[in-house]
Amino acid sequence: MSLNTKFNKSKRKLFRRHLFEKFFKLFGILSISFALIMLSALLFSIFSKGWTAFYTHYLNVEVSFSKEILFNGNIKNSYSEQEIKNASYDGIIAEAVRNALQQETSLDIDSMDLNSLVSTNAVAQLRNMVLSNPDILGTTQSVRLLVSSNADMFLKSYIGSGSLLNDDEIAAIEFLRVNKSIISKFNISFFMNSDSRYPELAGIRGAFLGSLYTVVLTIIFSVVISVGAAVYLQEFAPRNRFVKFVEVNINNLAAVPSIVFGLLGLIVFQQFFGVPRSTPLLASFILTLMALPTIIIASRLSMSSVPFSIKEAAYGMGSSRLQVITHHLLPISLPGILTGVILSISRIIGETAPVLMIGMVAFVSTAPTGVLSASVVFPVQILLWSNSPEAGFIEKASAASMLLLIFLMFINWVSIYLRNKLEVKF
Amino acid sequence: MSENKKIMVQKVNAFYGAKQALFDVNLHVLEKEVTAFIGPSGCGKSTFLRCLNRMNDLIETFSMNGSITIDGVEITAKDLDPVELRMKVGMVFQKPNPFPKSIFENVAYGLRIHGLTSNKKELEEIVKDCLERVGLLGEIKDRLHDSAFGLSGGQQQRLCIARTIAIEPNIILMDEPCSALDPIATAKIENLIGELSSKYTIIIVTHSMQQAARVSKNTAFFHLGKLVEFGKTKDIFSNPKDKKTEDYITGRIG
Amino acid sequence: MYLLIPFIIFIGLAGLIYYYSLRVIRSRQTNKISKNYSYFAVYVSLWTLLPSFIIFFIGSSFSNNLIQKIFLGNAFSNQSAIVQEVAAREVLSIAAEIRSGAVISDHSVGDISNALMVELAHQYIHYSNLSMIGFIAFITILTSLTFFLIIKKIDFSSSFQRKIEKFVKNILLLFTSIAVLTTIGIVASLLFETLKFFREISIIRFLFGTTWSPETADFDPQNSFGIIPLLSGTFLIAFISVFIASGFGVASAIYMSEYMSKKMRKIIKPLIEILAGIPSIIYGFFAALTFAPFLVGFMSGIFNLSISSESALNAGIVMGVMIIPLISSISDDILSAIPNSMREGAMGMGSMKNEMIRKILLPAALPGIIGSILLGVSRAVGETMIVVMAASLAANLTLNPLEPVTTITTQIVMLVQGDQEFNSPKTLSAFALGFVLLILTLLLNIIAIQIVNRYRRKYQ
Repeated sequence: MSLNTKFNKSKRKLFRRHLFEKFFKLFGILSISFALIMLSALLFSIFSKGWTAFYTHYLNVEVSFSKEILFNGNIKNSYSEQEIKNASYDGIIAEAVRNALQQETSLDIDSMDLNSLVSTNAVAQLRNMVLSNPDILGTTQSVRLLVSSNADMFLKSYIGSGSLLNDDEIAAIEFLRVNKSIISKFNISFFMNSDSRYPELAGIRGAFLGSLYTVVLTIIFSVVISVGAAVYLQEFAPRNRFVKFVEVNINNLAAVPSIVFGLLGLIVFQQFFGVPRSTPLLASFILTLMALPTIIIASRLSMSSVPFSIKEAAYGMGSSRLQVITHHLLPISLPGILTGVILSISRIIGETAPVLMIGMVAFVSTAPTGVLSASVVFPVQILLWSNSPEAGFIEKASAASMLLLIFLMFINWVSIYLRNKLEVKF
Repeated sequence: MSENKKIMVQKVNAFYGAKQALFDVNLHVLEKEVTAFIGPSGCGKSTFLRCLNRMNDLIETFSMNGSITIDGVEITAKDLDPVELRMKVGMVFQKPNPFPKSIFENVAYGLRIHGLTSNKKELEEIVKDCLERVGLLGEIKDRLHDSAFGLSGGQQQRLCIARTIAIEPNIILMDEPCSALDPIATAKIENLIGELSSKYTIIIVTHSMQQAARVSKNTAFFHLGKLVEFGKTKDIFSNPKDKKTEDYITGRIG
Repeated sequence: MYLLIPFIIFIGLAGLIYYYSLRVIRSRQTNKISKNYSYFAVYVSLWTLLPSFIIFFIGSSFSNNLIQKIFLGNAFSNQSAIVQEVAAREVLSIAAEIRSGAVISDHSVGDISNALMVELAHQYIHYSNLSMIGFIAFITILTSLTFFLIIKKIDFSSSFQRKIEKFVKNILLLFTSIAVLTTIGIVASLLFETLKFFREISIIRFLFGTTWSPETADFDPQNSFGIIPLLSGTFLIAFISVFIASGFGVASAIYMSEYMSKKMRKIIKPLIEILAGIPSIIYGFFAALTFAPFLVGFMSGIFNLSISSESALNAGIVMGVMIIPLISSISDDILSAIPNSMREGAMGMGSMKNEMIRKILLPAALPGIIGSILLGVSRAVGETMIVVMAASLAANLTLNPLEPVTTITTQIVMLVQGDQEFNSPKTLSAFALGFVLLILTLLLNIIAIQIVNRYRRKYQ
C-alpha cells in the first residue's frame, strides 16, 4: 500500500470522524436541552395553573331579605336568634340570582339550580349580615357573593359544559360576566383561610403556620445541636476511633431515605416518648435529625477554612479555647454555617414523606395555635389538594406549589447574597 | 550589673510524636534584656520558643520533658493554666496575624477577655497609649475603627505588638517578626524592640544574624535541636567558641 | 402563665446568686492574674442551681401525679375504670381552662354533673398551688444553703474558666453523640418492630413471596406479605430513572466541562442545579397531573401503545429528571479533576475531541461516574413522594414499564397512614419494609462512596 492510498483512506475516514464528532456534540446539547425543557415544562405547568388562584370571582347582586321567603311565611316584627340562624337563606339567594338573570330571556331559569352559581359560603355571609343587623330584614341590599368553585373554574376556562355545569348555567354565567355583575378580584381568602371542604374557600394559612412553627423549631434545635457537634469534632475531639466512627455515622445519616426518619419518629418520639401526634413539635424533632448531617458537614468545612494563624494569635494573647471559638472561629465561619443551615432548611421545608408518617396529613380546617396543636405543613397541603378530584383544588395545589418554589428560590438567593456579603477574606 | 534570671531552662527535651526536636537544652534568660535565638531552619529554635508559653499544647502529637521556670514558677506543670501563662508571656508571630476586626478592637481584645479595664474611657486610653508606643497612632489616627486588614504588613506587625503589650506581659516572644516585612518596616520594628526592652524581657527568634547582632544583648545558637552556644551577642559574633557556630556565622551552614 | 412562675423564680435566683458571687470574689484577695471574675460567678451559679433545678422538676411532676392519683382516684371511686379515667382527664382540662381564664365549657361525663367537676377542679388547683408554693419555698432555702456551702468550701485559687470550659465541652460531646444515637435509634426501632413482624409472618415467605396484598392480611396473613413484587417495582422505576439520569446527566456533564464556554457554563450549570432544589412533592404533582396525561397521549398517538396513567415509565422519567443534577454535578467534578496534560496528550496526537473524551477521559473517570450512578440508584430507591403520587398501589409482578407497579416506599406510606393498630402485621410490615429499604440504600451508598473516594485519591 502506497503512502498516497493510505492518506486517501484516512481522509475518507476523517470525514466520518468529523460527522461522528458532530453527532457526539449534538447528543450533549440534546441532553442539556432535555433537562432544561423538563425544568421549564414543570415550571410552566405549575405557574400557568397556579397564578389564577390569586384572583377569584364575585357576583354583585341585589338581595332582598324577604321575611316571606326567609321564615316560610311566618311574618313577625322581631325574630329570635335561633329563628334567624335557621332561616332559609338559600331561598333569597336563589331569588336574587333569578332577578339578576331576568333580562336574559333565552334562559330556562326554572330548570337551573340557581344556588349552584354561588359559594356555599353565601348562606353564612347573609346569616351574619342579619345577625349583626336584624333591621335589614325586609329591605333590599347590594351584596357581593363569592361564586361557586365550578363557576369560578368555568370563568378561568378550566372546565366547560359537562356534568358539573349544564349549558343553561354556563349561559347564565356568561350573561352575568358580560353585564359586569360578575367581577374578578384579588383572592385574599386564599391567604387568610385554612383548609376547607369547599375549594373556593380553601386557603394556605393553616399550612403556612404549620410549616412556620415546624421550621422555626427545627432551625433552633438543629443549629444548636449541629454547630455544637461541629465545634466539638473540629476543636475538642481527639483524633481517635470514636470520632472516626461519628464521622462515618454522619455521612451515612445523610444518605438514609427520609421516610425512614419518619418511621424512627413514629416509634421513638411518638410511641416511646409520647410526643403528641400530628404536631409541629413532633415534626421538628424528626426534621432536626434530618438536618443535622448537612449542617454539621457544612459547618466543619467552614470552620476548617479559618486560618490557623488567627487561632494562634488568639491563643498567644491568652484566650481560652472557648474564647477562641466564640470570638474568632464562629464569627469567621458564620457565612459557611449560614449557607449550610439555609441549604438544609430549604430541603426541610419541602420534605413530605417523614411528616406523613406521623399523621400530619389529616384534614385540619383551623390554623394551628401553637407547636402542640395538630396541623399540616405546606407540602402536605399540596398533596392533600392534588389528591382531590375538584379542579378548584388542583388550582390551589398548583398555586401552593408555585409559592413554595418561589420561596425556595428566594432563600437560595438570600444564602448566596449573605455568603458574599459576610465572607471574611484573608 | 544586676543579673536577674527571669527564665531558667533545664534539660528540656521535646518531641513531635516519636521524632525528637530538642535535645537537653539548658539556658537562662535575663530580665529586661533582648535575647536572640539563631540557627539554621529546622534547628528547633521556634519549637523551643513555643515551649516558653506552651503554644505547643495546641499540637496534639507534641510532648516534652525537663524544667522551665519563670520567676521561679514551674510552667511545664500540668495543672498550670496555659491561659494565665500566656497573659504573662505574650507572643508575636512570623506573619502578622491581626484579627478580622477593627484596629481598635484588635488592641482592645486582650483587655476585654481578661477583664483588665473597668470602663470605656480607660479602655480607650490604654488602646491609644499602646498604639502610640508602637508608633502607629500618628499614622492611623483617623482610621481607628477601620479593618486591620487595610494596614500595610509592617503596620499590621506593629499592631500585633501593640495588641500584645496592651495586656502588660512580662515577657514577649517574637517568632521571626520581620521575616515577612520589607527593610524599612523591619528597621521600624527593630527600633521598637530596642525601646520595649527597657520594660519587657524579649526573646526573638531570627534567621538573620545581622538582626540578632543589631537588637540582642544575648544570643543562643541552635543546631539540629541542640543548644550549641549561648552567651553575650558580641562574644558569640566576634569570638565563637564552637566550630559549628563559627561555620554558621561565616555562612558555611545555612 | 402558670408554668412560667417557677421559671421566673429560677431566673431571679440565678441573677441573685450571680450578683452575690461577683461581690464575694471581688472582696477576696486572690492570687489570680485575670480580673475576669464572671467565670467564677457563672460556675457558682451553675452548681448552686443545678441540684435545685433537678429536684424541683422531678419533685413537682411526681407530686402532681400524686395529687391527681389520691385526689381524683377517690372522687369517682364508684364509677367504672374507663369513666374514672375520662372524668379525671376532664377535671384536668377544666383546671387548665380556669388557669388560663377561659370560659369553662361543659365537661359533664355520664352522670357526673359539670358543677361537681368544676368544684373538683377548683380543689385540685388549690392543692397543686399549695404544693407548688411549698416546693418554691423549699427550693429557695435549698439554693441559699448550697450557695453558702459552695462559697465556704470553694478553692478560690483554682481556674474557674477551665472548669466552665470542661462543662461546655461535655455539653458539646452530648450534642455530637446525638448523631450516633440517631443511627442507633433508627436501627434499633426498625429491627425491633421487624422482629415482631417476623414472629407472626415467616421470613422466608416475606423475602420470597410473590404476592403483596396487605388487604387480605386478616384471613391469609402468611401469603399476603411477599416482598418480591415490591422489589421488582422499586427497581424497575429506579432502573428507568437512573437510565435516563445517567444518560442525560453524564452527557450534559461532558458537554459542559469539555465543550461549553466558561460564560455559558456559568448560566447553564445553576439552571440544571435548580432541578435538584425542587421538592419531590412538586415532581410528584407534575408527574401525576401533567406528565402522565402527556405520556398516555404521546404513546398512543405516536406508537399506538396503550399505557397506564400510573405506569412505571411515568414515575421513572420524572424521577430521572430529579436525579440528573446529582449525576451531572459529580461527573462534572470528576472530569474537571483529570489533569489537563492528559487532554493535551491526546489532542496533540490529532484525535478528535470526542475520541479524546471516549478513549482517555471516560475510562479514567469511569469508576467515579459509576459511583455517582450508584448514588443515584440509592436516591431512586428511597424516593417517596413521586411514587406515592404517580405510581400505583397495586402490587403487580411485572417488568413491563408501561404497566402500573408499586414500590416499597409507596407501601410504607399507605400502611402507616392507614390504621394505627401498632401490633397488627399490616402496620408491622411497614417497619420490615423500612428495614429492607435502609439496608438497600446503605449498601448502595457505602459501595458508591468507596468507589468515588478511591477514585478521588488517585489524582490528588
